[in-house]
Amino acid sequence: MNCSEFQTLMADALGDELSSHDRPAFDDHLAACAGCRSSCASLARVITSMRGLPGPKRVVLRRDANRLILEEADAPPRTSRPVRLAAIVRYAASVLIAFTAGYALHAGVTLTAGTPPAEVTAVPGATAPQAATLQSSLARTVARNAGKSDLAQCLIAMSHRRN
Amino acid sequence: MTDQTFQDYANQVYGWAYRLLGRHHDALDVVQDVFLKWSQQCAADRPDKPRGWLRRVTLNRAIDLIRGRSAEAGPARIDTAGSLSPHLVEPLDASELRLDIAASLERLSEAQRAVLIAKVYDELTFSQIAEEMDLAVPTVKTHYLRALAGVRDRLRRRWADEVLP
Repeated sequence: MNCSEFQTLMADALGDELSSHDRPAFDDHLAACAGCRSSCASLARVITSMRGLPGPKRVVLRRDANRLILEEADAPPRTSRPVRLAAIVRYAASVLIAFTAGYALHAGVTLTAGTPPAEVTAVPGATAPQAATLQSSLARTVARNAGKSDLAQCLIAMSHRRN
Repeated sequence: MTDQTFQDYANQVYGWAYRLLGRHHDALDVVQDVFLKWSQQCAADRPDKPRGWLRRVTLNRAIDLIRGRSAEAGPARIDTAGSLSPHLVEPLDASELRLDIAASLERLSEAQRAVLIAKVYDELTFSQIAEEMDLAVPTVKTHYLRALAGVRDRLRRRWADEVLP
């Protein structure tokens, strides 16, 4: 086996797919050629480095009423500052409120900016007029996406908020 | 259906994002973005190979985030101080290595990146990857080797700095 032939088998070897038929010739060349050995070893080291990094936590999908929530499995109770996930959960709740408001609007009930429902103040940092605007905006967003799944609506609403 | 796709692939999407980003909440952001895109683009016309689509979009989104970080903070370090609880913080060596790998992945082509992740982390065979990405097996192998070489070229600087025992 020459170096060019070795190169064609290197992907198989580095991908743990080298056949038993090719293995002896590959190993022979590996032992004989310092250049190919060095090249192969450095690429193998890349794989080892990548696999050696701490992997992701397992996440779970939790369904709570009409909400779909992605969170860590086996996460310890959070006692530190509020986390984004908690904000997402709160926000999902506000989406449900907005969704209800959307139905109310559809049914002919009028919402005025000065009298937002008390629940809207659960949106962090929002003043009453801002909350009413946000609620109205959310109601429009949700109404626009009526018929999509609850997950899609949550995702759209969360994206809307981030932007 | 989006919910079922989410159930089936949420963990994988999260995992791909986490592998690049190393931050739990950034990875969750990517999950949201990817499934939002899925619900907008694919709900009516589901791709034949959802995992291939999701992997490609996830990696692209994660790379976008990495680029955004670099633009904001210059040569970035993973913000362990901003992590939310100790179990989410990884050792500095690991976070620096992850950054080097992410920086090298950024320079690869989309296909090289996807093949590398599918092979190294998902442990698919070349045939499975070829089928998922609609590529020929020899092309997948070429992408794999070039991707490994791209990451190696970046890591060589790190390896050169390491003190041998």
